[in-house]
Amino acid sequence: MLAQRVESILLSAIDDMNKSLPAEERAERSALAPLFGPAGRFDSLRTANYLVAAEERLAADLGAEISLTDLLLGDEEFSLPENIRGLAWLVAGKAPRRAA
Amino acid sequence: MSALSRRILLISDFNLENLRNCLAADESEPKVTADCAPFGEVYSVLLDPSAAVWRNRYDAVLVWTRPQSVIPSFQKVLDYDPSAAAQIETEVDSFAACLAKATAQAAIVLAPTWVISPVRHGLGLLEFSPGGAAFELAKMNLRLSERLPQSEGCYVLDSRSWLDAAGGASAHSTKLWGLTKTPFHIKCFQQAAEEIKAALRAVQGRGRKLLVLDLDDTLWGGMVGEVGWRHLRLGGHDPIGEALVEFQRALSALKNRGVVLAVVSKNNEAIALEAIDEHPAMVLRRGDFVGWRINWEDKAKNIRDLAEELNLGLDSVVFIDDSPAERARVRSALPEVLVPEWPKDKTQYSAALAALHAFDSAHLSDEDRQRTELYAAERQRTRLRTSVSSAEEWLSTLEVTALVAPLEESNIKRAAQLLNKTNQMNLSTRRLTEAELRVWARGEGRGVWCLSVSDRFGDAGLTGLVSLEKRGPACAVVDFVLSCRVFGRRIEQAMTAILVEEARALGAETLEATFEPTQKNEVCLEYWRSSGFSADAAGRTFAWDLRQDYPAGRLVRIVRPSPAPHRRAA
Repeated sequence: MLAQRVESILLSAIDDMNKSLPAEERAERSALAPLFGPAGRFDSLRTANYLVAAEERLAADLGAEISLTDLLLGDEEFSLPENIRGLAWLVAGKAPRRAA
Repeated sequence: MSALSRRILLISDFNLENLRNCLAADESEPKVTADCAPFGEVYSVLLDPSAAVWRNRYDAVLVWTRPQSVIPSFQKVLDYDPSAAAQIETEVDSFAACLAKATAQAAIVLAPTWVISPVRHGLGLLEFSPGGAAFELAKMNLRLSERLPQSEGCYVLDSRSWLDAAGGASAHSTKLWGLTKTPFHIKCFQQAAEEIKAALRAVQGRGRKLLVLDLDDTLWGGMVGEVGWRHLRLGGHDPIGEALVEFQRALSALKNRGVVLAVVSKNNEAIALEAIDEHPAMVLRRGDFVGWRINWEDKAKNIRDLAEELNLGLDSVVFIDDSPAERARVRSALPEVLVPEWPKDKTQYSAALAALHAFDSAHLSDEDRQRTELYAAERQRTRLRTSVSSAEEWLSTLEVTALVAPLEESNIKRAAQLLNKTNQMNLSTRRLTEAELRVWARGEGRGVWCLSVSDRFGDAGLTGLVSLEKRGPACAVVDFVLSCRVFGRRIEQAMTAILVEEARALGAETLEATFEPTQKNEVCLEYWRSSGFSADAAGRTFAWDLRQDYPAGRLVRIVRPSPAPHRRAA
């Protein structure tokens, strides 16, 4: 249940990010599209912009301060999931209990 | 590249890809295609005209830097070395000189003011004293602004407002800096993109000129026809009333910088005007509006009528109304009119007005500041016209004078503004920045003359511009530009007579004017067809044999400051 809610929030972050992109470069609003990692559609700048937008959304909508950059880029235990659904599962597992 | 699209080079010591994307994503005009120079190579790109990035031709260059990166002494100030402050001015001057050099590559050079990250421990009480970073940074920005030659097309942009709009301290992103060498939040770049485009429009003379306002629940709170002016919410000990007074003050300030105000409202005219005249808290009075349509007709029709009356194109108009239905109607009927979304909350009106980047101009002239008075004088002229029997009698009563002066430093700002803003009486619709006009006018066999028009009702200021270029035995009219404010007063004939005289002085045998059609300058073609010049088969080039005198007419008195006008301008 929490993972679904997080997925919805993470998709909204795609909308936020797309506002600053020309139409032809906007990202697909899909939970399964490969976005991150070597095979993903996001380059490093796009990934960073997305992670910042997603952190802001999670803080505003879930009330949870979660550093995705710490979680995904700073911890060798985790590798970046390739899509939003994978990211949502990861975040849901790390989110504080009260957020649920 | 057309006037509606611009190509811009972004030069920085940090990553400006996000700004590039925001400029491309912003849908307002002009459309902008931006390229980023490799970041961190600010001086080498600015100083080397053979650098690879200059292979493309750019309309504008934006140089956005962190102060400690381009002014080494400022880094020392950040490191609490007060002895470094003495070197700062010299380094800022060098940087300004580098920016000025970029005008050889692009007509416009934009430099956002320097800011520093709030994530540092300053000197506290001494931060804004000599040697403090905040103090030195303010001095640096002032110095840069003073040293950059606006006349050459260099402008400093206030980046602080972009950061404020993006959340102040949170607009600085240490996370994005760490990940991508991007110091600011994306919202800051979105705001920057809007304002950079506004700056480009301003330099092109495409700022909007007429702001049309609704009355009920827009200028005041409540419906005046229902409650009467004494019971409107305006001023007083009322947060809404005070917010509306602040909004009117902001509108008045816009008027003072040359934006003309008008009213379009569904109301009883006598009741609404009584409120404007009598309500003690009204900041704007009847004389602050160049016109009004207060009736029960369609607002789109009223706006069109007002624009026509003022000789302004609909793309010069902004319409503000609290009613979503009226906004939708005007947007649909008049797509050229800018109709911003408007907040329901009246305390947000002033902020919504401030967020409109529609009225900027690259230069504020006396003509801009007096525009409302100029339109009032025009209404007096129109009244006089209806009281005399013929156009000739009306014109002779006006006592029109055209003061002719060659292009020079004192008038070049206004001349460039006129050249770029005038759409209707414009032979070639040539658009040049001030710097480009100066360079063009210095060419051999060229001349540019400006006309300041006045009559018994007032001084319309510099409202006409002509230029010509000698090409073999002929002289070509290059620019023939007249503000719509002085149409119909035979100034066109006076301008033609001046051109004939100047072409003769250059030793030419014929004077030729070639009309370049646009969607808006048909009136210019009509003038040349009636000018007495002979037209070619295509009906676009008009010629005069300079052995003949040109009948200037007696209705406009032409005054020259000296008997031997300059051949070279500026």
